[in-house]
Amino acid sequence: MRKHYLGAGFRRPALIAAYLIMLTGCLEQSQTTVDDQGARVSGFDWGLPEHIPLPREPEDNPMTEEKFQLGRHLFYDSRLSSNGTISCSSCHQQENAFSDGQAQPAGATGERHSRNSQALVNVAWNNTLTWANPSLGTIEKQIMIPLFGDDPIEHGLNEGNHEQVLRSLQAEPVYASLFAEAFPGQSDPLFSDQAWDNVVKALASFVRGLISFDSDFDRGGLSAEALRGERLFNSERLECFHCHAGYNFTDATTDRLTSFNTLLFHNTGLYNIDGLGAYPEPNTGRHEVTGKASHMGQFRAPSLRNVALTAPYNHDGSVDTLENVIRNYAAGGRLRVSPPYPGDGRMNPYKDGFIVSFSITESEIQDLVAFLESLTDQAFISNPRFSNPWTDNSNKDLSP
Amino acid sequence: MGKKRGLYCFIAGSVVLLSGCGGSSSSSTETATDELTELTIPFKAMVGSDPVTCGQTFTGLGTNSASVEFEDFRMFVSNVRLVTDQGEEIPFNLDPDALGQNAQVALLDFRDKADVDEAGAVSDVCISGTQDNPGFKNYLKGTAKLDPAKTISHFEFTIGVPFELNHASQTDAEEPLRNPGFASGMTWNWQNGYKFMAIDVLPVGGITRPSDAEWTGSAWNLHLGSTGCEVGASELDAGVPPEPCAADNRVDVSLPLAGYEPGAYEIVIDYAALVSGSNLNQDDGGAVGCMSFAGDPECPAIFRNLALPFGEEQNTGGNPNAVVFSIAELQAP
Repeated sequence: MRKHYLGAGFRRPALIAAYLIMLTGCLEQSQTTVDDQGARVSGFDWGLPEHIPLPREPEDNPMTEEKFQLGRHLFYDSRLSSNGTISCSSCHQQENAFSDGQAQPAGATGERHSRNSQALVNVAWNNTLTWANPSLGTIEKQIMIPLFGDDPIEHGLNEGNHEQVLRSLQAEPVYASLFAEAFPGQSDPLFSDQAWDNVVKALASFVRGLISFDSDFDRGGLSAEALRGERLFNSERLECFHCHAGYNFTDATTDRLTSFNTLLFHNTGLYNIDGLGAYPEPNTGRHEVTGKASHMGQFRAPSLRNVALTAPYNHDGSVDTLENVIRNYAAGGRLRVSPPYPGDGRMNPYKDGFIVSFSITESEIQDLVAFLESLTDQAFISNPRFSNPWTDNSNKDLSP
Repeated sequence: MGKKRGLYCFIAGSVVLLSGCGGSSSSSTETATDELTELTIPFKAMVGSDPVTCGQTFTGLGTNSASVEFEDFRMFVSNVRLVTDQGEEIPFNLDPDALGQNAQVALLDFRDKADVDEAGAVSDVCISGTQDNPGFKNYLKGTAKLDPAKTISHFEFTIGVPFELNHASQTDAEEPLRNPGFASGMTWNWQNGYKFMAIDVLPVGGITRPSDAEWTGSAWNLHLGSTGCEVGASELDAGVPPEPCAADNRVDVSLPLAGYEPGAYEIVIDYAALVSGSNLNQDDGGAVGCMSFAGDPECPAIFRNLALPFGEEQNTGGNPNAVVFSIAELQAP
């Protein structure tokens, strides 16, 4: 516990500095003091505001518009599942900032996922993927989980169907040119043994290109209510900004100016089912991967951009509204008196040092929600670049 | 079965050299140490005295005498070597052109049945399969530098994928590590690696949890693999070496060759011994069966029989009453 607190305290000045830089627009100044060779070099038009540093691009999968466009077609293609029933867009819907409005979605076979579908917003800047997996550093690796994972089954691709699924993609006339344009160095990118590698790289490129920096907050047109909420957000009373830090409102951010990476996860006191801090299985967070007791209930702080569109909340979708998320934090954790999984999360021994209780009035809660709503980017959810490119239902038609 | 019989003949012809009786080879003694001898090492999956096969129910397993049918039975083998009676390790160089193996790793696949369509695509491996599984593999093929002057006393190998390969891209990996491909179903993406060993069974009567009367399960899975793999900064900063996993869970097997006639033995893995301390109709929490995670209640008994450390238990020497790996007389198929 002591170590945990010290760790949190240690990173505080750096995060505040990062946040202030963003607020005051002084990043240009700081750019002159760091070696940012290559920081603005990309084969892809990221279309970012000047003050946002470019995200990393994997050396073996640099961004191109052609891969982005191929990935967009694949993202919306339900042939990419065991039975043609789901695509990536089934659980990641543009109108919900690429979340799905459900607490826990079901995969191709109907098996329910134990976690909430994450919004896909500025994922390119995340230094780890999914809710809490310190072993996943790239979107390419993350994509293998929904496609090929068997616990739970999501897209349901496996040993017995991947050849058939690939054949159905190969039979789609549109893909011949899309694959050729996306992978110009390959003689036969759709039929060679690199085909699946290409599918994954293109999907990752599309997800990496889902950019949202055009909210009211970015435009500077906040209402009086939202401005009051912003001050609360940044106050030492509420402490929101420590974990939801910087231009992407998460401390799990890495960009091309980042010189020191720390992978951060936090226990926010949602559960305490045994009085010893346990979260219900399998959602034990970072602990699920590392097995370390001190990692119990630690999850990556999600970006708050477009958060008003992504209810229900938390890793398992167990909190219905932003107001109730705030109330849990105000209480210093969640006291759950009735099943499932009753327990006093406020007393969770692994709780992050910044999850302290605070007093807040109902009108302050509404101010804070107004600020969070100002992070909604209407252009993002209506951007035709991110929309379903299939003009008819041909992608649903599995007959020859 | 014609394919397998052909394999057996080949084994009989080449395994002779394994014992170190290389004097009968055509090479002269002067050049013997520089020449590579082709070897094939047969493996056999057993349940007690019965060979593993798909679609058959095996009885009398574990602490409650469970009956099970196999759903999966595969493992990655690496770091194969022959050890002389002087303790010298002679590398067994896996033939990268042989089915299901590359120069570093082989995927043994003991599922003998599958459904195969006209185009050659495989579906429903094992459970409902009625044809030969084209991925079936029960041998290692390779070469070793055998010196007639040296006596090979032990055969050794590791069950697992080497660290450098375990966390690399799967979609453009060299077979048998490619997913989708040979490694389909053998990947462990949540831990960013591979299942080193996957032995899944369907127990007759299903699986229950004493802690939850409502809960039922169908498959008791044994998934061995590295756990606690935090990528740290390695994925983020080029040039930073990857961090090792908290528990690498690679099984080192060393088997004495003594006592068998040249060419008359095979490596045996016995599932009955492996699960001798487990109740296959019950799960006490965590993943169903043992999936290597710290605290999984089904893992201590399995890890002890594999002589793998688990939690506080070092399990050095394994369980003398559960001989999971052994060398046995080679049986005709």
